[in-house]
Amino acid sequence: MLTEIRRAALETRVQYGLMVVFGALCIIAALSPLQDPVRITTVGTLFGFTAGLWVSHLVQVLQRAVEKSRENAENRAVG
Amino acid sequence: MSSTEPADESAETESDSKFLASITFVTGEDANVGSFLLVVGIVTCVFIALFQFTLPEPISHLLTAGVLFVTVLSAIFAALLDSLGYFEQAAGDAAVATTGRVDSSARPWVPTDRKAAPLPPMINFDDELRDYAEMYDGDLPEQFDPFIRDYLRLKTNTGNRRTIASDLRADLNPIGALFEEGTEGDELYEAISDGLFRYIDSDTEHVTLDRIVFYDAEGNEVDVSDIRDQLGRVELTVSNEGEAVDVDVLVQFYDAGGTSISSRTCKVGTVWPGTTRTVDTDAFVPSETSRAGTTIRVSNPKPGLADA
Repeated sequence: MLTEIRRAALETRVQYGLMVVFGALCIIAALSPLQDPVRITTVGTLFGFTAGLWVSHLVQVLQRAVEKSRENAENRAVG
Repeated sequence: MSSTEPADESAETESDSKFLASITFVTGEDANVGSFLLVVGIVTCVFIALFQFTLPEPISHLLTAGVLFVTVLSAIFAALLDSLGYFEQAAGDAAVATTGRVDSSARPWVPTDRKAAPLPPMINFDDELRDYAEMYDGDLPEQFDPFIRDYLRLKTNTGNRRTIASDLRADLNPIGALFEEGTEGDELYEAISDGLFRYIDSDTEHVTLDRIVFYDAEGNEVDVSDIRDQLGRVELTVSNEGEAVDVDVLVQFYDAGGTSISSRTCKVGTVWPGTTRTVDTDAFVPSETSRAGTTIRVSNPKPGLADA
């Protein structure tokens, strides 16, 4: 995973960056002294953004891994 | 990978290092599926604790359920990625990525993650690199780093090899500067350079027809003019020094005046890098034939084709 971050394309870095931003904002909102309805709405929304980014990132990584594994299988067939 | 320009690389590595140091602290070097799940677990705990301690009861339970759902989903994805060998591949490249220098093992030009595709002989420089390594007692100078990095890319890619070969030719310049003209190092440099230029030029000339033989009905080797007006057999041997290509050979029959009177297309199929294929096919030789000629036609092999 660490290597992947190092080699990551710009879009992956953006995804990680946004996850960190929304995650941090979610924590701040949860601890903030706002009224309960506002706090709950904000925390829920920010957590939704964070989780959504994470799941979409996982789908993207899985898609790449499948493509790569198919490519490797073809190369092995060639070899 | 941040490997295009040494100057860019150092700047990028510096900016990366701060960001990555904190991640390394959590995942450890050479992260694998265990590190991945550990990070997911830590994040899960943080969010659950946050929701449980800061939000009122029904909402905190709902959000905790959401966190657990995402965690289970992540674990399923991790299992899928692990079964596809994703984490092993990432770890295989770790030496190059973490140090910024290529692997200092005895043979740094050999990919460590077993995903190399066969190289055409003209751009297989393993022997030359081995000679260079012996010249430096196994410790190649840093002028070789960009070359070896792109050479590994060349070995693990099949789609854009010509572009990588051009990069590789550029990477060769600092190596050429290390050696005086006429020395062993310079000869190896010239050999690599020639191979790259030949490869970059074109694919067509890499396929050659080594041999064409005609046989009569009894299976005896004969001249084409001896089997006029008969069904004979033509045997072709084709070799390929370049990338894998689909080859068809057009055998044309000419009369005494040099006019093409008939032709027969022989499908040789896919000829893999550095291999030779022999095929034979029946062909009717017209009665006016005095000689035969051939034309090689190449096309890119269809993806996923596993022709024997």
